[in-house]
Amino acid sequence: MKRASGPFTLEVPEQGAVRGHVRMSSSSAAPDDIAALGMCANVLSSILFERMQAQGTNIIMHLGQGAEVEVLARTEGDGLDFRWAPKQVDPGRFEEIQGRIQNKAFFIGKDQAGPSAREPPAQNAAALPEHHADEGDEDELVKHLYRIP
Amino acid sequence: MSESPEQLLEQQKRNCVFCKIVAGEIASRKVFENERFLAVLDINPAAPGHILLLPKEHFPILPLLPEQQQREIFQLAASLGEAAKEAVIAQRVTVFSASGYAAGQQAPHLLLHIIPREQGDGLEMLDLEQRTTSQPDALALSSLFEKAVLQMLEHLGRAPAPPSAPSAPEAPPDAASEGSSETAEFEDSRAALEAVLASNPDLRKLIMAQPSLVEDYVEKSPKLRRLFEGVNIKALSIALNRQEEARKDAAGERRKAARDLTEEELFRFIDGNEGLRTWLLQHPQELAANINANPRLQAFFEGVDLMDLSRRYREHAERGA
Repeated sequence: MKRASGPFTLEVPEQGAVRGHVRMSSSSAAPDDIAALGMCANVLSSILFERMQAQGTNIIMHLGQGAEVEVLARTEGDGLDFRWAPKQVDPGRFEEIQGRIQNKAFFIGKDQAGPSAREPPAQNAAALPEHHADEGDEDELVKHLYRIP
Repeated sequence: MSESPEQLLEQQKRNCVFCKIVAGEIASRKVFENERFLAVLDINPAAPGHILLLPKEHFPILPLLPEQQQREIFQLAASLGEAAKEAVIAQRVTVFSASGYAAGQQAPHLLLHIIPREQGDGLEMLDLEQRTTSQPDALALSSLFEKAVLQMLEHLGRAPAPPSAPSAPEAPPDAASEGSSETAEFEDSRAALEAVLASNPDLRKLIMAQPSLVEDYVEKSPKLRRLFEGVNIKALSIALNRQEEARKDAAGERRKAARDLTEEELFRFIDGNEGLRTWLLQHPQELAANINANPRLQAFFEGVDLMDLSRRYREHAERGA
């Protein structure tokens, strides 16, 4: 049963992943929309706790061009298992990813700040490897090429 | 002597690995920090760029986080997700949270996992493609959830608006003359609305499926009020559904209505639809109320006495049992 709920679409699928499975979606994945979706998902999760006698709940958001949020009522032995096998990432790659994310995340929450705040700190800038089309970067470049429509 | 909840929480905090990470007692790979939140790379990542976002204060589960911080944690999750996606050039991001042991929560400190995703990354279980559990109370739940979500959005100051409101409204159609039938009202206003509906299929579908909801939107939005001035939205919905049926008739696509089916076919249809079955057996009056609010269900059950159908179907079910 799909319903429009304000800017979002709400659906309780007749066939769910578990009994007590709700899905919300939004055509936007902007932070304010995700915040509203997340807070609504939290309310739904509390209702599931009460109505379905759930022992736990999951909120799973898929963010791309738009956003989809799955809210699940969980009970022990319900057949769902979200445990993942850890990926091996070598320390050098870890450091490189950390530097890249730090650089991109540096501006979060600084939109209202003055121009001087919009410069990443020197140590973060240093953590970002210079971009050369050498062997190490080849995978990233190939990934970029695949994204070109 | 048993400990109070406050004492237990204090003890939980003292033993919490993530509180130690926040305090700097355990090393971590920090990617973002502000006064209230910390984001670090997961040392056992589900994928490269996997971030853990956590409140600096100890909160065991999301519902216990104060409202302002709930808003902030999801805003940060969206922004950090975008940062991680760009950093590892991923296609999309999944944000995962578990509240309670049964949901897979492993640490007593609220965490959001922000995981960059790729096709074939081995994390398909997060996409929930296996959906084999029937939800017989889907109808009742969706109504309850819808109310809760609308209340929450109102509380957040986000006035509900249709998913895709027309951006350039045409001149409002003239009000239909008093005393005319609902369908005639639609005929009068059809020309003015046609362009808007043709350019906005989502709005058309919404009017067809949920005219009451559209009426609510129209009441709340001055722009929509101007566009729909003088238009009976329920009549418009009926007319659009009839148009659609006529189109399906012409294309040989129309689904049969209940009256077109034999009793055996109708019962077989109900047997295969657990939600409808439950409502028909247990809540026939509520089902009738829901049908009246849904033109498609109304079209399917047109001319059927639901209470009589409920009685006959119960007898059929008892015979089957």
